[in-house]
This record gives sequence, C-alpha cells and structure tokens, in this order.
Amino acid sequence: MGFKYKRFEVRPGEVVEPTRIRKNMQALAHEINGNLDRENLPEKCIDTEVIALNTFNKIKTTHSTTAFSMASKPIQFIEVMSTTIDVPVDCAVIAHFGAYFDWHSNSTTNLNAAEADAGDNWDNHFFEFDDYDEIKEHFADFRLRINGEDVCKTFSYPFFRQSQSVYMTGVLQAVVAGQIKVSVEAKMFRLNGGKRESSTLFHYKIKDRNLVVHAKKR
Amino acid sequence: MAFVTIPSINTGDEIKVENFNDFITSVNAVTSSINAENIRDEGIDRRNLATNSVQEIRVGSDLFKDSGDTFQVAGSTTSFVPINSTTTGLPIKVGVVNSKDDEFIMVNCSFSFTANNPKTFVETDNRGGQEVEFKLQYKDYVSGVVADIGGTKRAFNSFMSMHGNYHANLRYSCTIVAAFIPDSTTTGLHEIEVNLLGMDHYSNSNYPLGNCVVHDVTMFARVIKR
Repeated sequence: MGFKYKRFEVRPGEVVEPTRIRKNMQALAHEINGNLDRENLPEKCIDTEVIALNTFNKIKTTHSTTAFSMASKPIQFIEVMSTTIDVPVDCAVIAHFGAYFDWHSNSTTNLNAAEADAGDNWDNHFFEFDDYDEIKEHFADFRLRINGEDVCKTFSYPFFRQSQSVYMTGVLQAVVAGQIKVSVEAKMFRLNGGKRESSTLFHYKIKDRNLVVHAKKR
Repeated sequence: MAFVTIPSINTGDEIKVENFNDFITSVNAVTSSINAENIRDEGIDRRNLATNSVQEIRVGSDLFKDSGDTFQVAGSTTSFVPINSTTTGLPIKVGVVNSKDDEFIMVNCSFSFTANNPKTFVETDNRGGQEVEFKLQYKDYVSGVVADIGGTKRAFNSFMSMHGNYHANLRYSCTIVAAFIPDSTTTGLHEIEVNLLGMDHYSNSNYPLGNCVVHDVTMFARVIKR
C-alpha cells in the first residue's frame, strides 16, 4: 500500500458521475482484496494466535535408545540415523545431533596373545598401555549431512575412553523447497602404521542419540 | 478471505441506495473474515509481529549461566540426581518456561566437567575408572509430568590404566541440544522446567564416588511457537 488519497470528492449540489463513485470504491477494494501489506497494519498487531503453526519455523526431532552396533561394518561411513522434513519454501536448515557410544571387545575375533590380553582386560574394565603397540589405534568418526552435503565432521575419537559422547551441529543455507534429508553417518577403523583397516579387536555401539532438524523459513 | 464487492455502476446509470449499502456491507464484513489471502505476498514484516509471537526467549529464568560456580554430581550411584551448586545448593536448571500445546521447547546445554581419581581403587579391582552420565529431564508444573527428554543421555568413562596403578582422570566438555513438545494438558498450557541430571560411580561398580565436578555451564531454553 502506498499513500492513499480520496480520488474524487463529491461536493454539495454537484451532479455525481457514477464512475467516480465506483473508482473511489475500487481504491479500497483493491487494497483489501489481496493487497494489504505492512502499511495497512499497526505495529505489533499480529500475535501468536493468528499465525499458523510452522509458519516461521518447522522442527522435527527423532531419537533412539536402541544400541546401534558398528561391529563388522566397513571402514567407510554408514548411515546411523536419518530423517526427512518437507518444507514448501526455501529455507535455512539447522541440524543438531548428539549421542553417546561405548567401545567393546570382540569375543569372537582371532587375536595373538597380546591382543587377547587386551581384549580380556577390556572386558574386565581396564586397559593397560602395555598392549597399545600390539592393538594399535581404533577410531570412531561421525559426520552430519543435509541433503548429502557435509555440514559437520568430528575429529577421530580414539578408543582410549570406553564411553564417550559426541555432538555435531551444522547449517545449510538457502535449501530449496521440497523434501530435505538430514542424516548422521559413522565409521570405525584401525590405524595400523598409517594404514586404515577394519578393526577386529574392538567395535563401538552408539547408544542414546537424538537428531533435531530446524527449518528456518523466515 | 474477506472480499469487497464493488457495485456495477456505469455512466448514465441511476445510483441507487442499494449500491452503497451492498458495498458498505461487504466492507463491514472484512473485519470478521480477513485472512492471509487479503495480504500481499511478502507484504508484512517484523514490525507487524507482536513481541515474542514467533519464539520467546527470556534472559531471566530461561537462561542459566554460572558465574564461576561449580556443581557436584553426588547423591546416588544408581539413579540420576540434580547437579547442585557447591556454594548455593541450587541445581542446574532453566524455567519455568510457559508454553502451549504444539509448541516446541528447544534446550541448549553446554558444560565441562572433571572427575579426578581419588586413588582408592587400582585396576586389579576389576573396576573401570570414573563413569559419569548426564541427561536432560523436564517437569511440567501444570500436568505434574516428569519425563526424560528422549535421546539425551550422555556417558563418559575411562578404562585406561596408568601402568598397573590407577585409572586416568576424566576431563571433558559436553553439549546437549534437544527439542520437545510436552505431553498435552487439559488447559493446553504448560509450565516447564528443564533439569540437567547426573550420575557418578566407578565403571562396573556402584561404589560411591561423588567427585565429579561440573563447571562452565550455559543452559537456555526457548519456546518456538510458530
């Protein structure tokens, strides 16, 4: 709406031209029939109750307490959990992921004597660095993706801490309208003298985890 | 949608009182039926929105930020308990936050903690080092519901043994972010408090420990309404 003025003024004793009356009416009708804007509305006049749900923000959450085992998984990233959200307009998507995970020894693996000690000790809730040279390092990696694009990656968590927690957050701006997929991926590997290989002694299980997806439309 | 009807009046027509009355009637009806279709696309901006109409953040009770205080995880080795200030005794929490049905409450919580080995048990006791767990829980003062916020449990421990002696200390930071909608109430209203709870014990043992100290805490909650 721009500055509005009364287009035609009718004075006493004047013969009224019908089209002038009609044009005066049209000026008002034009605004109300779909062209109202901020100038027509007082400041702070729109409160929560008249705004439809999800107008400005759409949130979707998912969580699980079922353990996700990384045993016998390849050393590439695999999907741990994901969710999709339908957004009818372009938006910014903010994602948060959190979880805790703990390392376990593999009871069925074939190990040499030193590694077997390490596994036995692990089952008895301790691990001595004497075994470190034999078993090498085992790592857990995580990444958070929005529509297939990485928005956050963690450092490689070593197995030194039996239970650990991870938090990732990221945002992808100007996501086009439609179905948006947010996924969390994890991988596990053993670093043996610079060579990445599958871990036969340890694996980790991802426990409590939650994924929050926030589509910010305006 | 409110729609204003313009009478058909052309040059040479007789102007009747009905022409005006019909128009006035349609204009009067605008106030009761006006909706989004009457507004031009992208026609409104933040000036038209009432304060806190989209989301609400109150810097007072909805924000918890310690001022150098420390908090002790103590009280139980088998169940989660509030984490209280070592000086004031007050727990780590935010709220009361007021919300309505279908409105999300988003909580961000970050903190650091240390759990030092008191050198009580050596590794041969078949116990791991300190194990510390945290989770977020909400309480609705309207419905009385107390419930864990799903998927927010976090755990830390160590099996590392320092050459046949004691387990390594724990020093970590943790961030938990969650969004949830409280269970519906008969009034549709909620008064929500969110607590950070903790549990502290030796791994593979319920032996009381209680030496985990939480510090550098920031926690805030906001209501995302629309």
